[in-house]
Amino acid sequence: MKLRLTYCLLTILLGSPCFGQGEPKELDSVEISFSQGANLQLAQTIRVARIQRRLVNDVGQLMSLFTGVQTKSYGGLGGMKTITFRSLGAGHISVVSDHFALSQTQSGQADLGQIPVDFINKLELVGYNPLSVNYPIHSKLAGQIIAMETRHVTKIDTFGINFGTQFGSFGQFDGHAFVSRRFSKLQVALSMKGRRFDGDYPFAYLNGQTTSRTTRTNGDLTDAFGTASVSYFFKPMQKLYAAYSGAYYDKGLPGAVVFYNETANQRLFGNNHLFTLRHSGSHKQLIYSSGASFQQSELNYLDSNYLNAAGYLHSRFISQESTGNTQWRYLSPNDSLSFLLGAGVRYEQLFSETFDTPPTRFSTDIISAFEWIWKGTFSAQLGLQDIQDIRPAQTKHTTVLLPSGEWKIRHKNFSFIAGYRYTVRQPSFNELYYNQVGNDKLLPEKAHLAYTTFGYSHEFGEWRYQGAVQPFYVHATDKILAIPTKNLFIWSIQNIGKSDAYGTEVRQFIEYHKNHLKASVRLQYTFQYTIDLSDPASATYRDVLSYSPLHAGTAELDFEIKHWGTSLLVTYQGERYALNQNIPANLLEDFVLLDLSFFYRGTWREHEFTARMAINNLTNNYYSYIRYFVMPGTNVAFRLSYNLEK
Amino acid sequence: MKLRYALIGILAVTILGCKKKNPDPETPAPTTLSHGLLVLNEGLFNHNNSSLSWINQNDHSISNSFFEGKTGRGLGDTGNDLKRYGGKIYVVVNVSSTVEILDAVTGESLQQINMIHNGTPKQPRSITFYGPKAYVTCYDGFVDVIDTLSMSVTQRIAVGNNPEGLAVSNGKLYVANSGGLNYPDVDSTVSVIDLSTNQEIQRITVGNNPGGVCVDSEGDVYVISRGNYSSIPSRMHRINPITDTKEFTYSFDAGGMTRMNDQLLVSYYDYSNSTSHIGLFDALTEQLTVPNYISMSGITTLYGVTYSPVTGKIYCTDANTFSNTGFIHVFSQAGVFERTYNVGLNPSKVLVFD
Repeated sequence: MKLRLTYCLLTILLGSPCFGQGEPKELDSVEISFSQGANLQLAQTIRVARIQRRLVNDVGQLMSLFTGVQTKSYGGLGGMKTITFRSLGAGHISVVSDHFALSQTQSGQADLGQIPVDFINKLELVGYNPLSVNYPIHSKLAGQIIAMETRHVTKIDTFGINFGTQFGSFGQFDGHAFVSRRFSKLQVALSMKGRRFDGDYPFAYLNGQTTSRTTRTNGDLTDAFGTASVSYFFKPMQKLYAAYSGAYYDKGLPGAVVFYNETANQRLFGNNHLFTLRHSGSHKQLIYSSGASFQQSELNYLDSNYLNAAGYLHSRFISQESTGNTQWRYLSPNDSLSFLLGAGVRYEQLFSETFDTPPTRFSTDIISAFEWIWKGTFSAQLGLQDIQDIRPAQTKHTTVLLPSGEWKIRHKNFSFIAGYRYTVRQPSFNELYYNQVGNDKLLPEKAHLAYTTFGYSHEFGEWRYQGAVQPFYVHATDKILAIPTKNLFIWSIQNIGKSDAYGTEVRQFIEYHKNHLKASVRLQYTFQYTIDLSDPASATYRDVLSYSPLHAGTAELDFEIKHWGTSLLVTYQGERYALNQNIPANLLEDFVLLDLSFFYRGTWREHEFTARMAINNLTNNYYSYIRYFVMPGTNVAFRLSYNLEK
Repeated sequence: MKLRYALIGILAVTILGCKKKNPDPETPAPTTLSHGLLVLNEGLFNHNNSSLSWINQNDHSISNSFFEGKTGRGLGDTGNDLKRYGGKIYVVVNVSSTVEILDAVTGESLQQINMIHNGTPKQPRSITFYGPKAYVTCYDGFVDVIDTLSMSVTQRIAVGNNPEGLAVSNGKLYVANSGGLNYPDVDSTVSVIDLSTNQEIQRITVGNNPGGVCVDSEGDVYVISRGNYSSIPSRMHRINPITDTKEFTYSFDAGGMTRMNDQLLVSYYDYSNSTSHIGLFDALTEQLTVPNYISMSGITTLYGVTYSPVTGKIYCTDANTFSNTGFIHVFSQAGVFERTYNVGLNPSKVLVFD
C-alpha cells in the first residue's frame, strides 16, 4: 500500500510541468467570485485587520463572526473548540491552512482552539468554490471549508519582520515572531509562537436554587508552534512552495463542572508535524496546482485519578496522513467557460495500543467541474470518492458520487445565488474502532444542502453598504450519533440520526470612511431551526436538536480616527437544549457577551507598531456554550506588535 | 404591499411557532413521605442532572424535583443507589462522589458525606447495611464503612478492583469486584468480608465482570457476571454462604436480580437488539420457572426492577433510550400491567413508602 501511495504522490507531483514560458496570470485573481467588480462580499471572509482587532487566542474564537456557524467551546482559554455549520457536525467541515487540509484522522474534527491567529492574513468560510485550485479536492467535497491563508504564502518585495507579545488575565502570556526574506526568486519565511496560560479563573454556576462560586483549576496550557517555508518563483506565475510546521502542546482538561467533586486531573499533551510541498501556477488558459503532504499527530491522554489497577490511565495515539492532489483548470479565451479536473489520494493510519491492527484508510478523490457565464453564472461540480477502510478481517469499500451546482446572477447592485450540494462524511477512526464505543458497521453520514442568497451593495459618498440574506435547508440522514447502549458509561456510535434544518442567515455591513475617520457596523445573525426526525416513536421526534439555538448573532462596531481606534463586539447565543429532548430541565439560558477593545497605531523608526487592549466579557457574565463547561468572566488582554517591512 | 405583509406574516409565524412552550407546573415535594414511591433518576454523566422523583400513590401526581425541593440544591452527577435503612434514606451519587442521607419521614437532608480520599474521588457505587453500619462499595477498590448514627466514614476495607454490588448473608458481606475500569482485563471475583472483623477473608471466582449481588430467602448468594457484552455472556451464579464456594452457574441470560419472596425476578436487556425480558426464578427449586414473566411491550429500555413486599407490586424502570426522561411501569405481583409514570432521566431504583 505504501508503495502504491508513493507512486501516486510522485505521479501527481511530477505531472505538474514547470513551463518555461507562459502568459502571467495571477492565480488568485482569476478566482471568479462576487468579490470582484461589484464590491459585494458574499463570501464570508475575515481579514488580518479584523482578526487583530479582536485580540483572540485562537481561530475557534473567531468562528462566531461567521453566520451559520455554531461554536462549541468546552471552556477555558485553551479549551477545545469545534463548530457545526447549518446543523452539519464538525466532521463535515475541513480545515485548510495554506492550501492543505489539517489532519482530522482520529476524531474527524479539528480542534480550532489549537490554531493560533497571529500569522493569518485571511480566514474564510467557503461553502462552494468548484473552480478554485486552492483547496484540496477532499476539502472541496466536504460540507464546508474553513480556509486560512497565512503570511507564509504572501509574496513580499524584500523582507518583512513582525514580532509581538500578548499577555493578560489568568496568567496568559505569549510571544510570536515572523521573519520573511526575499532573495530574487526565492522567498524564505519563519514563524514561531509560544503560549502559556495558568488557566485558573473564577466562575459561578447555578446548583438548584443556589449560585455557587469557585475557581476553575486544571485549565493550564503550554504550547508552541513553528513554521518554516520556502517559496521559489520560477516565473511570476509559477511557484514551488515547501513548508514544515511543528507544534507541541501540554494542557489540563478541566472538564465539566461536577457538583461536589472538583478533582479534575486529566491532561492532554502531544505534538504535530506537517510537511507540505506544492507547485502552482498558470500558463495561457491553464491554471493548476499539485501538492503533497505528510502529517503526523501524537496525542496523549493522561488521567491521574483513573481508578484502574495501575492507578492512572495513559492513552497514546499516533495518526499519520499522507496526501497527494492535483487540479487543472482551463479557462476559455473569452473567460466565459471554465473546466476543472482533479484527482487526489489520501492514506491514513492510526497507531495505538488500543488497536491490534492500526486502522487504515485509503481514499481516492476525483473531481470535475465547469462554470459557464451566460445569463449569470452557472457552475456544477461532480465528485467521486472511493474509500477503502482496511480492517483486520476485511476491507470495506465505499464509493460515493457527490454532485453540486449553483447559479448566480448579478444585476446592478443586486445579486442572487441558488445552489444545491450533496455531501458525505466518512466515520472517523474513533467512531469506527475506539474501544467499546466504536462501531465498524457505520455508514457514511449524508446531507443534502439547498440554499439561496440575496445580496445588495451600494456606495454613496463616504458611505458603503453591503447586505446579504441567505435562506437554507439541510436534510441529513444516517447521522452518526453516540448513544449509551450498554449502560450509562458504555456508549456506542450508531447511524440512527435524521434531521432537517431550516434557517436564514443575515449579514449587514455599513461603513463610513472620510479622511482619517473610519466607522463601521457589521451585523451577523443566524436563525436556524434544526429538528430531529430520527424516529417517529421517539420522545424527541421533531424536537430541536441539542446545542442548536434558534437565534445567534454578533454585532461589531468599529471606530477609528488617525492613530486611535476602538471596537465593541456583541455576541448573542440564544436558548438551546443540552439534550435532544425539549424539556425545561434540558434548556440552557441565552447569553450576551460584550468585548471592548482599543488600539493605538503609531510609527517608531519609520516602522509600524501597534498597542492593543481588550476587555472581554465586560459585564462579567457567567455563561457556557456547553452545559457545565464554564467560561471565564471578565478578563483583559494586552498586545504589542512591531512590523518591519520593505 | 400585500406581498410584503404576507412575507412579514410568514416570518413572524415561523419565529413565534418555534418559541419554546411554557413548562408544566411542577408538583411540590410532600412534607411527609407516605403512600408513595421515591425514584432515583441517574441522570447523564457530566450533566449534574441526577434527581429524585416522588410519586404520590393517592392522586398519582409526580414531583420530579424532590431532592432540589427539599434541599435547594441538586443531587449531583449520576446517582447510582437508593436504599432506606431505619429512619434514614441513603442516596449514593457516583460521579459527584457523595452519599446523601435524608430523613425517611420528611425527606429533609441530614448529611452529605463527601467521598473524596487524598484528592481522588472514591466514586461510590452501591450500599447495604448490617447492624449500625452502612457499607458502600467505592470504585477505588474499597468498601467504606459508614456509622449510621454519626453519619461519617469510620473505616475502609480493601477489596478487589472497582467493586459494584454487595449483599449480606450469614454474617458476611459479599462484594462483586467488577474490574470494569481495567477493560478488557476485567475482574472475576467476589470478595467475602467477615462482618465481625470487617476484614476480607476470601475471594471467590465467579465469572467476568461481576456486578449485582442478591440474597434469597434461604441466605444463598447470587451474583451476576456481566461478561463483555459480546462473546462472553452475562450469567447468574450461586454462592453457598456456608462454604463460600460457587456452587452453580445458570445457563440463561441475566443482567439483574430482585428478590420477590422465595423467588427472584431475573431481568436481562440485550444490548445487541435492544430487547429485554424478565423471568421468574424459583430460589427454592433453583429453576427458572417462567422465562417471560412480565410482558415487555411498552418498555423501551429496561433498566431496573424493584419488588415491594409492602404493596405486592413490581416496579420496572424504563430508561427510554437513556437520553430521554424515563418511566416507571407498575405490575401486579402476578405480572399484570397496571400503570405508568413519567419520571426523570434514567430511573434505576425505587423505594416504596406505606
